[in-house]
Amino acid sequence: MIPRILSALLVLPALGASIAAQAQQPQWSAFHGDVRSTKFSNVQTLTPETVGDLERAWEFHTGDVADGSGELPQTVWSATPIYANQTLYLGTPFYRIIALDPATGEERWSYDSESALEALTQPALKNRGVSYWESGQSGVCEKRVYLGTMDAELHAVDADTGERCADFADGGVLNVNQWNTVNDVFPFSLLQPPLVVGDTLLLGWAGKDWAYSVAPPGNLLAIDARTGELKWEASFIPEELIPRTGTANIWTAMTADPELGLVYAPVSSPSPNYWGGDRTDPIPMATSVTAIDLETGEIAWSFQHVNHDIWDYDTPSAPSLVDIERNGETIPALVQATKQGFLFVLDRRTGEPVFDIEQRATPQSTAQGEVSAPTQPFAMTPEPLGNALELPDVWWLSDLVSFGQCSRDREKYLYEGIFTPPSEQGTLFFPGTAGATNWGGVAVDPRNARLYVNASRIVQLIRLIPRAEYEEIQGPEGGNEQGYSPQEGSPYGIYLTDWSNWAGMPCWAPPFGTFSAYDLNTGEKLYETPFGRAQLDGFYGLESWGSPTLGGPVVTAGGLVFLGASVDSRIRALDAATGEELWSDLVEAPAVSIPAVFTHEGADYVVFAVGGNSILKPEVSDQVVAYRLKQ
Amino acid sequence: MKNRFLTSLLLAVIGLVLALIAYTAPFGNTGVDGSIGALLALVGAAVTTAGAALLVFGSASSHRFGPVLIGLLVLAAVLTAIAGYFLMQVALAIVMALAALALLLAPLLQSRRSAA
Repeated sequence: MIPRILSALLVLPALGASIAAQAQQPQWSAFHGDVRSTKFSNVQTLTPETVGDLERAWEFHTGDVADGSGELPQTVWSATPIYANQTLYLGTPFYRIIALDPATGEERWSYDSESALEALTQPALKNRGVSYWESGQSGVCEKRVYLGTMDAELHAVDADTGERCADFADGGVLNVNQWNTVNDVFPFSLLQPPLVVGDTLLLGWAGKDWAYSVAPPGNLLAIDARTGELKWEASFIPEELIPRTGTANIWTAMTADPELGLVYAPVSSPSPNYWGGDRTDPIPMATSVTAIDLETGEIAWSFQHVNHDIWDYDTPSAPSLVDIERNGETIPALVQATKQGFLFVLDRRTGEPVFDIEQRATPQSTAQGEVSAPTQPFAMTPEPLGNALELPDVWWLSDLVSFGQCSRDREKYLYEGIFTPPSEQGTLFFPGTAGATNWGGVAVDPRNARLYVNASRIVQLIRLIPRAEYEEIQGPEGGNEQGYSPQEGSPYGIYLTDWSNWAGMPCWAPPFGTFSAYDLNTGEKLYETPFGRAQLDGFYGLESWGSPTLGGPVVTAGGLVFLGASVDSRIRALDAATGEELWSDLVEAPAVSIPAVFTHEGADYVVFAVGGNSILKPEVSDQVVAYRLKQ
Repeated sequence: MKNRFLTSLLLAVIGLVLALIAYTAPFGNTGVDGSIGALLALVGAAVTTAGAALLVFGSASSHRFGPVLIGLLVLAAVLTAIAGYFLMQVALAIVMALAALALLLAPLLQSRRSAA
């Protein structure tokens, strides 16, 4: 007995040290790595010097993929893998959870929500992953994984076994649609996993705001992680406007500062997206970043970055928290990247701008019943992404191929600067609705307040179609993948498409996408370089043309940026100091996700979910690829 | 059999194999598999191969149109090489460029022999 006790005494400190070391290892326990959404990974071994030794550690196929040619809708998979509990967790677009061994990619367990695989609110089956929570105690369901579904269910399962947690809502399944009681023309689709702060799940939802004028008003639901009970709800549409409009929802990830006790909500635009004649009264929290008290749900402050949004310039990504040095003072700040290409840097305690923001006069609408906002906020420091304030020139090559079609279009369609309203004549729309940035957002290095971001430069054509004409073309409720949306209840349907010539070539001059770095202490842009390669019918564009991107970067302590996102289905590692491409790998489809970068059993891993997105190109996939340095 | 076109034929066959691999991806993702661009490159390489085979093995009557045929094949090979470049199939681009060069040089080879 005594030797056993002695050996136990000897082993215990070593075990304790091992557990402590594991706890200190870089994790990736949330969509953006952590609740601050920095997308910074403190891995040490991945550096510009070692990245050449990166190799595939393993590859896994979930089997949950559809290209839309069969009975199932197409899949769009933008999940960030979650690394926690020594396990890698994936959500899939068939609404399953898969737990993998991070070192080998072997499946440990899977859970099927048995969700109906119907594209109820989106043109595709979509998923952006899962969330992880642990109570700090041991036992069944003291560690949980949460998965949302298109049909408004939130599932909670034990992180070790994949068994449902019986004490959560109704046997492990929460019907979130029970709170969808106003203008409920579509269900609350849970495509983005909830943000977990302490014992609270912060949940937004997605809908179909381009289809209806009157739609569910946006809100933020705070849910008890253990029981599934609603703790509080914050709403973003003034009550008196609810009969006439809707949404201003949160469809993307959120950020929190537990020390300040605030959650930062990226609130989207009101409905319908491209005509606001029924909602000309102020909706101050629409298209905003809004800070909400984590305990009570009360609004602490709100910053509206598009006034009276008629461009679908939803706040597309979680703001990133970073402390910056200005005039000898440390300012706890947040950076909100936007579709319109501005980077808004705000004091996260108050919402006050850190750099000047100007209200500038903007073009006015001629559409029936529309009253455009007279001004819009312009953040000129840091410099806007991808030269967003200037419409790119007509591309000579595309113009040549189309015998001047692009030049004629440029004369024909309206463009009076950024924020030119949609029109019956047709408006050139830049940055387009997919945005300069989207759900990928930015990465920030907290050690030096450097920001890294990929941006798209896509010009679109939007046309408001009077209701009678629209119904002739599409029928009263018709809409389709070719760009028609009814905006039911408004005097206009819309037609929205990329501005291209008859051959499908973009009419605007490249670059089509860029990668940039900024010093947030000064607001200075450090570099901007074309990123990725565009691809059409298999043919790649030149390197200098860049690529539109969907998905976001991760910056590492070793000075690398990992980014997929481009049309050419490549994953790249860039030198954070210069933006130079140092390494790349070809995968099965565009990796429209954010990678997880973490340390497991002493080795650093970069894991991408490779899902594809029809916005970029038709190829989709169910591939998961893990990289580590050669051993 | 016209031996001076053998090099062109050999290069075109290699190009055809590379284009087939790019399009069908038997050894894994090529980044362009199944695409219209890769199909066009495959057709270009096939046309060049067929034409070069005709030059090598064809009858005397087919050689009456030799200069026109060579011109068309050079065009096909050059376009396939350009397609290969923009498909990022470097080996295909190089091989088809060499095939075009070989087609251009083959008649010169004949002239020099005749002069000798």
